[in-house]
Amino acid sequence: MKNKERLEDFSPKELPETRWALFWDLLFHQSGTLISTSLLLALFALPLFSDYFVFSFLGSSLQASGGAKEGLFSLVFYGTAIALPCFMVLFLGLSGASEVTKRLSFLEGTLGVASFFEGLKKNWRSGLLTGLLYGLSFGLALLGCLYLLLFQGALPVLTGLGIGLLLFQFIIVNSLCHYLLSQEALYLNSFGATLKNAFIFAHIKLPLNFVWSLLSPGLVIALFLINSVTSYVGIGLYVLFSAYGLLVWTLYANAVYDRHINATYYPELMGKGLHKKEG
Amino acid sequence: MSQVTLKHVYKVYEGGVRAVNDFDLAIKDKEFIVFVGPSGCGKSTTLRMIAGLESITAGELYIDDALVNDVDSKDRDIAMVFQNYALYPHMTVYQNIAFGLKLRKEDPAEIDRRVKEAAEVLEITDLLSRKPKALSGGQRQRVALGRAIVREPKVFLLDEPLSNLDAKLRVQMRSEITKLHKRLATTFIYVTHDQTEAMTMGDRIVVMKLGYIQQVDTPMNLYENPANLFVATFLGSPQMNIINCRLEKDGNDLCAILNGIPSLKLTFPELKKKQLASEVYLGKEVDFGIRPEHIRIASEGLPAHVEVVERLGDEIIVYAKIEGQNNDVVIKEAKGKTYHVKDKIFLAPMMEEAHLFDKTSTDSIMGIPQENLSEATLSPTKVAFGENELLLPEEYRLRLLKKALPKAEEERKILLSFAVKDVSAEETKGFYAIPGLIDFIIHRTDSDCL
Repeated sequence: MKNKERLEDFSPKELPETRWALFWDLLFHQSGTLISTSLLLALFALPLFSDYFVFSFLGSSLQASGGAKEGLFSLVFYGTAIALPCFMVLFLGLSGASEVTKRLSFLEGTLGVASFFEGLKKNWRSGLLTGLLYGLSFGLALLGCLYLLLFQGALPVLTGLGIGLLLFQFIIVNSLCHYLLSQEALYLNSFGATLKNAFIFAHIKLPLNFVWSLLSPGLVIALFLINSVTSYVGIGLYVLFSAYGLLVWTLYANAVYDRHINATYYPELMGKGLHKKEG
Repeated sequence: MSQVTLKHVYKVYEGGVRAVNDFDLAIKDKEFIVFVGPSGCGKSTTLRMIAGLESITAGELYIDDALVNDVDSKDRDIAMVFQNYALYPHMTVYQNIAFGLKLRKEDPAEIDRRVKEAAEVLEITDLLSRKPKALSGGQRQRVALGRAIVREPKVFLLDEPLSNLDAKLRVQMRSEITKLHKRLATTFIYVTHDQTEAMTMGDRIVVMKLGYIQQVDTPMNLYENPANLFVATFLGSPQMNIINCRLEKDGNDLCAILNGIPSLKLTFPELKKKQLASEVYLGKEVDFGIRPEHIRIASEGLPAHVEVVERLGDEIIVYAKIEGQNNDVVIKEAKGKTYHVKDKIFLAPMMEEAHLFDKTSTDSIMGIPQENLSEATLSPTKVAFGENELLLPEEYRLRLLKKALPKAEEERKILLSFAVKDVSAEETKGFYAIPGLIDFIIHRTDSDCL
């Protein structure tokens, strides 16, 4: 190996001291692992992308032929129904990716693809359930918003309120699902206990959960909704950087767990992956 | 169990270059054995033959009881650590350590357990997510060791692993490798050209030169009883002083006359005199050897002049020249005394620590012999020496060259040799019993007396 050697030992003091510093550290030192995890996630997202493109095409044809609102709604309904198992498949992938991001966030080192599939093997059940929950919440938000926009346009206040509520539930469920995945990769609690914790964290950390939800998956969903060109940009972003979004969620979740779980029950996990200052 | 046995192993490269000659060694289970010698002595080649990275030209190599001459390197259950670490720069420390196990398609959970365990042993847990470029040489070498540890091999092969490190780090890593050997309780075969590493780390040391084993023994026995001039001068810093001398008898005493000058006469103590291999050396020129720490600067002795003084903190190295002679003599003294260049001093060698070497063969002729030599008479069926007669076993007679075996009714004078290790002081079934009286006993520093 021709790398120039450092004269001084690498000191643990050089490790990041905050989660933000850890995020940047991982961004620079683990980009290969993150991108390969994103590509793997993209494979699991293929059914969902296919569903989107098939039904967008059908929707465009319907609009071009001057189809009724009911027809469009029913098309989106079927598309969303088919998307449900697609979300479950996507979350299978996310359960594997959560193992990778957990290890990265603890600076434990990963085996890349092998760690991904190790996580998938370990957490596939909760992955499927989480996917189902997410799919239902997404479907409810999408169909609810579409219904209000198509059929209740005359009542703007009611429509605005309804859309707000539907998006709020989606943000709560999105946060809950991320807390579910990260807990499943970390603790050995029952699914019920994990769900309860996730539900609590999704509510008590709402402001920051909202910010992270805008980033992941908010940005990609928005790109999909704007038009077909931006949807390609959304796909590109997802294919290359989905693991980065998951990493942000994992790092934030770890900070939440340190405060609310680890400090009391798992002190050995407190600040894992961070350099602890003496004293 | 992880014994390694090399039986008459040779390595001859194309063009006839002999890198290793008749390498015969049994390495015990859990032993830390060090191959040491100058560049080109064949130590790395031998290690690479054990690893399966070089083919064996002749001889047999056993790991445990299995002949592995033709077994692939990957199937020998050995792990090798190289001088240049051989880490993958694009992989993290974790991935580097796990790489071998991943190739063997081990379960990821098991890989993870082993990597973390090895990282803890080597105290590199904090480095797992880093890439080699972020690490110092010592840390990189620890990663290389980690990669070997996780494989849980029968035998560890280490090829000059500390050569790329600076002096301070070498000392630190030396003790870490020794601790690691104790903790893992596995056979370690370590190659180095650094005699300090060899002396401090090995349970036994194999000293090599030009492809031949010169001596195999514990570090202290090698130091105190070198088998030949090469071993004597290779081990020890500063190296042993070698001065030409003539052996003489002065009444009952045995004396060494340095450079043949009668005034430079040194008398051996009684026990040392008994250790002289043969009286044939009396009146002949031999090499007289004495280590720097075995020469005292006294009020009387061999007159000399100080040439150079090196102060090393806890000790002083004095380079002197014997008066009227060209021999440089190095003396190691404890700190406390002051010497200046051109000071006249008197050298008093501790003769109980002196060595003598044959001028031609360079073998030691005083000390613990490697072989018992005796003049004997060989006839077609037996060999006789003193009052003893040993019948030659049939298979032994078949192995003798035709011209070596006398014809019927004929006898031939020979020099009979028994290796010291092949002679037991206890009565053993199936062995020849030769009656004898104990003449004297020498206590070796770190093993049984002889």
